[in-house]
Amino acid sequence: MAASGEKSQVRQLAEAGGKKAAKVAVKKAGKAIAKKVAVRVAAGAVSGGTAAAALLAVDALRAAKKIGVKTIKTAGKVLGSFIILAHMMIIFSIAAVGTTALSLIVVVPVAFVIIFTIINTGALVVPPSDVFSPFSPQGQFSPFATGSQGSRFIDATKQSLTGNVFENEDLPLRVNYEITITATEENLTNISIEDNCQAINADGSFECPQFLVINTSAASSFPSMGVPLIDTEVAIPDQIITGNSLTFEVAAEFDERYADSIVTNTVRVTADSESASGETSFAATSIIIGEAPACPGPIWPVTVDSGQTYFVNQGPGGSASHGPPARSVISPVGVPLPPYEAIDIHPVDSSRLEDKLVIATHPGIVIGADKDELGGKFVKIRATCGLNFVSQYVHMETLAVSDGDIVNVGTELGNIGMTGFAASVHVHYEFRDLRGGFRIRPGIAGFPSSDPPPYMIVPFIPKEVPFGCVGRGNCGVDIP
Amino acid sequence: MVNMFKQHQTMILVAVSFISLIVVIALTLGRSRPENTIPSDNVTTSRFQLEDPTDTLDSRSLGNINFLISDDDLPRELPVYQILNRSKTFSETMAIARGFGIQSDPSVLNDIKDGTIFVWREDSKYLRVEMRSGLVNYKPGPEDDHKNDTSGNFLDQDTLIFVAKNLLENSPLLKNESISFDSIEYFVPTEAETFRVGDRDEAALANVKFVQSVNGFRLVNDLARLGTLSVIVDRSGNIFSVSIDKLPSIELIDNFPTALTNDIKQNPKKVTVYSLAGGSIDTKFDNVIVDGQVFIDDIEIVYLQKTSGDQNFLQPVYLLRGSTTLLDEIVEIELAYPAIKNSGF
Repeated sequence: MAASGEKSQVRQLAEAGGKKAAKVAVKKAGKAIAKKVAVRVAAGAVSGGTAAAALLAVDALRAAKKIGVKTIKTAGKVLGSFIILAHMMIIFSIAAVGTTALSLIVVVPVAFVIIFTIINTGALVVPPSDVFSPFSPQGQFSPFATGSQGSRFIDATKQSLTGNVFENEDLPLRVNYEITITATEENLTNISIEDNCQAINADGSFECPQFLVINTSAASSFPSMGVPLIDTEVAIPDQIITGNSLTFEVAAEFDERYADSIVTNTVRVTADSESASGETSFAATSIIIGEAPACPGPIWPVTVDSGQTYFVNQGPGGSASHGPPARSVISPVGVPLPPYEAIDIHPVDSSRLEDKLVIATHPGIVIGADKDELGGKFVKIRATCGLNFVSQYVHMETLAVSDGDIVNVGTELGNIGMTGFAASVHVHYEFRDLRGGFRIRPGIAGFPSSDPPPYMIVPFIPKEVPFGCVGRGNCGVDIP
Repeated sequence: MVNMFKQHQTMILVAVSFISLIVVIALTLGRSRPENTIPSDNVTTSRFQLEDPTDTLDSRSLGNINFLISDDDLPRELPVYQILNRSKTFSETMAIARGFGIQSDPSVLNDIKDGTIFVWREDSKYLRVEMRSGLVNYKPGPEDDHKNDTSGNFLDQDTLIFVAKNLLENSPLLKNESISFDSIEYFVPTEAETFRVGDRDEAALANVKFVQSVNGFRLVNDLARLGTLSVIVDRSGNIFSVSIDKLPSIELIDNFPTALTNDIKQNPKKVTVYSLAGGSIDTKFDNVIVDGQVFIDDIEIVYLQKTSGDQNFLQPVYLLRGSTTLLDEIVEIELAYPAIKNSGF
């Protein structure tokens, strides 16, 4: 495998597009790189449509073959036609005619054959689809609204039209919400809409008031005021055409029971697109009335009510696996990576996992409940309690929540475990910003301290965990 | 006179060039395959309503995809299998544990997606069996692992393969199964708690992969980085983890017409990302949009197994291999597309 510097050089040479450059590239690189150069130039020839590029590609392919790369079957066939034709035309033209005729004889037939050959061989170019990152919140970051999460085919948003922060004195209070569902890339059919709501206060979760449909973009066919959204026969259109939206408003009235609470409201949209069935997106928004529960709450993310005991085995940052990175101090976007704002919490007895549960530490929406090879099973929760952060719970044994679920302080997320690249049972508990970046503590050399405050400190967690500690004794934090 | 001769010569040469062009076109046309002549597939596929085999893969948006493959590279039909019995019974699961030398009772847990999961923690050993999918993970310990240790000499590759294969072939799950070595890759620790696939000299771990085959094609699963049969070892050959996602009992249903390049062209949004950067486990590529040119120059037919176990049929999938530029690096990319024409529609 070529070193990265060599790769870069090869790439620059290949992109320069000259025959000499391609030869140099092939000589310089290993066979994998030579193959890439060949393919790259061949593709350039096909799409660019010049005899020179075709010849260049053939040379690159030949050179690649010389050093052991298998023939790229189709490209070889395509370019074989190019070289026969191009050589023939050039010889005849030079011998006989002037510049104008040369152009006609060489350029027109070659262009014709390029187009013909592309059609004949099935080489195809697919236009790019719209840029979209499935799990990045869309639009402006807001501490009260998640933006659309989930399928790239459905953009779902929900926002309060009345505001997000209220005083208890404002009660009783009517709040209007706008829901918009947009077909982003393809027409949507079989559309279903599910609305969920939870009110959360210091005593736990309780029911939301009834939501009423008050207006829609399909006003003539929608039920009038007085019909609850969640159980009406809402006249959802048979399809939403690409680029178009379905927009409607709902409203709810909050009385004095909702003092000192957070009301979180989600909309989940499921639909078929032309190329995928059962696509789902969701969005959430919240309002805060009075003194809402802490965000995050001062609790550990593990259950202790049945006598379970734990200890902190690694603090934020340091020289172990919570960073800062020892080997690569530059991130993909070229800025230094700060230490992880994370701690590892281990059970003292890891033989039984049934009652060792991981719990949420703040109200929010589950924006990731999945598994991968590195973190094993994990949960990511987007706060909806007035601050912009995501908490993560990693290496779990099981999951008890799904994407789009509303969670409160203490909501069970699953069992603690050691899935992924974990060598012992523990939960890796971490905070990041909404772009997936890291929290930065003031006073860490080389990093600005203007980031919002980290949450791995008192009062957000019950005890101070020493920065950079490794091992139970060194960290000195037992739970409870 | 001279001018007339030159004009005459020019006309002859132009005519010869034109005829040559016609001949080349005719030859190319003559060599090309006829259009798809396979019989209508509606009857056979509609009976089974094949699910989309790739719906658990990464569906991030892709830039321009340039396919340098042709229908010549693709078969006209491929077999589809019904999965008869993938889930594990209680007694089978207990037998697996005994086979790994574990005698204690498991923790019985429930996962919202993967169903019932048995987990054993005995001494330093860890064993996890997902009942529905049959997926098995085993870590022999000890907890003081060497997953970030890059000191000391790495055992030679043949020894690593021998150690890994020996462990799999002697496991109770694969004793009578035919497995073959697939690939080995080296994990280099990078940022905190992440790895990249890199050079052996810098690596702390080696992932030795093996495969089973279906109809002569490789069986893969939706965890491209791990694969179906993976043994991860440290530099001294100590086992860090074992992952076994074995081929379940299957029964041939029928051969079905396959998708051709034109089908892929017409349904670009059904193309999913199977792996990036050679299956790198470096999280820096997570959620990064592939917005550059993608060049596909190779195709492999595989059978794809979902680790969720939520699957009725074992279907072939095209793995389309090539390269793209991501975060200013040229990286390998593998895309997936259902090989059966109407699968998942």
